[in-house]
Amino acid sequence: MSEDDSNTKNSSGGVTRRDILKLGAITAATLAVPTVLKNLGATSMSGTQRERYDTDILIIGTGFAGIFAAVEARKNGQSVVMLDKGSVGWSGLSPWASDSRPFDPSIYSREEWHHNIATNTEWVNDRKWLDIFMDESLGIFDILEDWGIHDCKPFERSKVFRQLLLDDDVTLVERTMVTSFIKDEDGKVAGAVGFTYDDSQDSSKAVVVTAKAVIMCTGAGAYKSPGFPNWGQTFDGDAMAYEAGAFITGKEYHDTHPTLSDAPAASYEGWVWAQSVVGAYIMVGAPDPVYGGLNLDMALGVAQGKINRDPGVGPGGEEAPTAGAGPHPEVVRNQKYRGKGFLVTPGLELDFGGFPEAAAKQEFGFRVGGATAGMGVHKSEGVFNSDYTCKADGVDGLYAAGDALGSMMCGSSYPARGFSSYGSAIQGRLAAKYASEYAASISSLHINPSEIDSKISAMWAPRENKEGFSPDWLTKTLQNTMTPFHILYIKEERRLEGALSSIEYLRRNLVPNMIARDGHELRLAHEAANMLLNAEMKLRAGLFRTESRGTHFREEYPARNDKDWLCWVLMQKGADGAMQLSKHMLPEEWWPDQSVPYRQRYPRQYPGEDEYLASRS
Amino acid sequence: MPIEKIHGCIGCENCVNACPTDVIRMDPGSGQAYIAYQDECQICHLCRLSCPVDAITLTPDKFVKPTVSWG
Ligand SMILES: Cc1cc2nc3c(=O)[nH]c(=O)nc-3n(C[C@H](O)[C@H](O)[C@H](O)COP(=O)(O)OP(=O)(O)OC[C@H]3O[C@@H](n4cnc5c(N)ncnc54)[C@H](O)[C@@H]3O)c2cc1C
Ligand code: SF4
Ligand code: SF4
Repeated sequence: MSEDDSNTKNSSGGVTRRDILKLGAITAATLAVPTVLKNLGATSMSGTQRERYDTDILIIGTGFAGIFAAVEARKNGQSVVMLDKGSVGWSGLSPWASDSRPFDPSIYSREEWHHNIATNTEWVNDRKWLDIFMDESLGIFDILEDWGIHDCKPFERSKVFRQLLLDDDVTLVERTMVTSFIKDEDGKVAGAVGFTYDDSQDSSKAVVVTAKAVIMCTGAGAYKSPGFPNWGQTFDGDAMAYEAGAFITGKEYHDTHPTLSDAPAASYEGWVWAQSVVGAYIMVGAPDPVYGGLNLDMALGVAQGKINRDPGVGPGGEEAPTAGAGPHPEVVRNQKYRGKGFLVTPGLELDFGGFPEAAAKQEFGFRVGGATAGMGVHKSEGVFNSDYTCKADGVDGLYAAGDALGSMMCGSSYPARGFSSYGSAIQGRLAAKYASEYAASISSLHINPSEIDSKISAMWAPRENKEGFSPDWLTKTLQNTMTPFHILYIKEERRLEGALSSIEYLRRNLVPNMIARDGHELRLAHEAANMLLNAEMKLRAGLFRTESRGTHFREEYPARNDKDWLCWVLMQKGADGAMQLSKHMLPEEWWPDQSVPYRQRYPRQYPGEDEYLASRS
Repeated sequence: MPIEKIHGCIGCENCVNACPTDVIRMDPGSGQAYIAYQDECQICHLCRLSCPVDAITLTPDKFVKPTVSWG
C-alpha cells in the first residue's frame, strides 16, 4: 500500500533496484515477521462494484477549504465532484473553530501584524501568504455572514453548507475514503480512487473519479491522540501527495494543545484547558502564564492568541525593545470577531449553558501534552507550493488548500487563534481559481486503465490478506513510539534515530501485512499506514533541523541558528523510494535584522540555551 | 466507556452522519442507530449534539485494550 505503482512507469521493464528492494522487504517479511492474527473477514475484492465519476475538478475534503474551493470552481464554470470520508459540516477540524480573526484595518496595522507574527513564529513564516490573508480575510467574514453561518447552531450549519453546495450543482460523495491519486499518461494527477465503508448498508464499493484537476482539502492529521477531536484526520492527503511526487513541508513543528490528566480521552471536557492548572514551561521568559512560552505540558503553544501584544518581553517579564517596529505594549483583543466565528464550539453554548459541570469544577486534573500528538502547526504543514498558486510543487494537476497546504503562513508556531479557518477558506478559493484555469486548458484526459486497476487492487489489499496485523495494533504501536515527550517534543539525535528505526520497520514489514475484516477496518488500515508515513517524516525532519526554533526543540542544539536554518524543510520521495530532505531558503528580506542582538530577536529562551551559546562563542 | 448507550432513537440517522470516526451505524432490522465500533469513539459529542431526541449518552472515560506482542 505504501508503494506507488504509478512510479513503476519510470522503469523501462526488467528488474529495477526498487524491485529488488521490494523483494528484499517481502523476503524479510516472510522470514522475520511471523503473523498470528487471522483475517476473519478476508475476501476477494476483485469483483467489487465500481462507481465512476468524470468531472472538471475533483475536491477531496468538505471543510472550509473544500467548501470555498467548490463555490469558486463553480463560479468559474467548472463541474465539481467532492469526496469526503466523513460528511459536510461534521468531519475534519472545521466543526470546531470558534474564533475568527479577519484583518480589520480599523483595528490593526499591517506592519504590526507582520512584525508580531514574524516574531511569534520565529521568522520562518511566509510573509506573502500573510499579506494574502490580510487582503482577503474581511471578505471571508462577509461571505459567511451572508450565508448565515455566524448564526447557525452546529447541526444547522451542516445543513446550510450542504444545501449551498447542492444548489450550486456540486456532486457530493460522502462517507468515501480516498486512498490514492490517479495519474494520466503524462504523469499528471487526473483523479483519485477511494472506497465506501458502510458495509452494513451497502457492501463496499470502489469509487473512481477522473478529473482535469484535483484540489486536496483533506486537512491535517494526528496520531488519533486523546483529548482533541481529530481522530478522523490522519494525514491522508500528505501521504497521497507524497506518493504522487509532491514536496511536503513543516513536519518538524508541533501543535501543542493539551488534554486533562484524569480524563485524557475526553475531547469535550478538554475545553477547560485554558482554565486548568498551568504546567511547567520548557521555555524561559514566558511573557504571561496562559499565552507565552512552550509549556512542558505542551499547553497552548508559543505566544498563542495575541497578535497585538508586544512580543519583545524579556526573560523576567520586563519590557525589552523589539526588533524592527516599535513596541506595542497594549493588548488589544479583537473583540468584534472573537467568538463570532461561524461556529459555536459544541458544548460552550448548548445544554449546560457552559462547560460540562465536572469540567467547570476542574475535576479532571491537570493539563497534559499530547492531545494533538503528530499534528503540525495549522497552515504550516502539508503539501508545499512555492508560487502562491496552491499547486503542489513536484507534480502537475494537483492543488492543495487549507490545513493540507504547507503554506508556512504560521511558521514554527501558531501565532493566534482565528487564522486557521479563514486561512483555509482563502486558500480554498485561491486553489480553485488556479485549478480552474488549469482545467480549462486541458481538452481531454488519457488515463491507462491499468493505472486505475493497480490503485484499486492496492486499496483492497488489507481486505484480501488472510493473516497479518490489525490496524488497531499498529496504531497503538505507533502511538507508544511517537507520543512520549522525549521523542516528539524534546528531541535528541539518538532517541530520534531509535524511534525512526522502529517506524521504518513497521512501514516496511508490517504495513504490507495489514488485515481488515470489513470496510470500517479497511479505513483504519489506510489511516494507520498514513500516520506511520507521517511519523517517519516527523522524525526525519526533526533530525535534519539541527537547531531549535519555535515548537521544534533539539536538546543538543538549544538555540536558533539564523545562518543555516532560515529555511523550510522539504521532503520528497526519491527515485529509489527513500525519503529525500532538502532546504528551501527564505528570501533575505524576510530575515530578522542580524544587527539586533540575539536575545532581542528571540526573547523566548530554551533551557540550556545561554550555556550553549556561550560555549560556542 | 466513551459513547455508552443509545436509548429512545427515532431513526433519523443524524448521528451516523455526524460521527467523524464511523462509530455509529443504523440497524436495518430495527431502523435504529446502534454503537458499532465503540473503540473509535473520540468523545467529541457531535453525535449527541446532532440528536433531536437526546438519545445518546457519553462518558468522559475511555479504556484501551492491553498491549500484546503480536496483534
Ligand atoms: C478544537 C478546535 C478548535 C479550533 N479553533 C479554531 C478557532 O477558534 N479559529 C480558527 O480559525 N480555527 C480553529 N481551529 C482550526 C480550524 O478548525 C481548522 O484549521 C480548519 O477548519 C481546517 O479546515 P480545512 O478545510 O482545511 O480542513 P478540515 O476541516 O480538517 O477538513 C478536511 C476534510 O477532509 C476530509 N478528508 C480527510 N482525509 C480524507 C480522505 N482520505 N478521503 C476523503 N476525505 C478526507 C475530512 O473528512 C474532512 O472533512 C480549531 C480546530 C479544532 C479541532
Ligand atoms: S462522541 Fe464523537 S466519536 Fe464518539 S460516537 Fe459520538 S460523534 Fe462519534
Ligand atoms: S440522532 Fe438520535 S434519533 Fe437520530 S438516529 Fe441517532 S440516536 Fe437515533
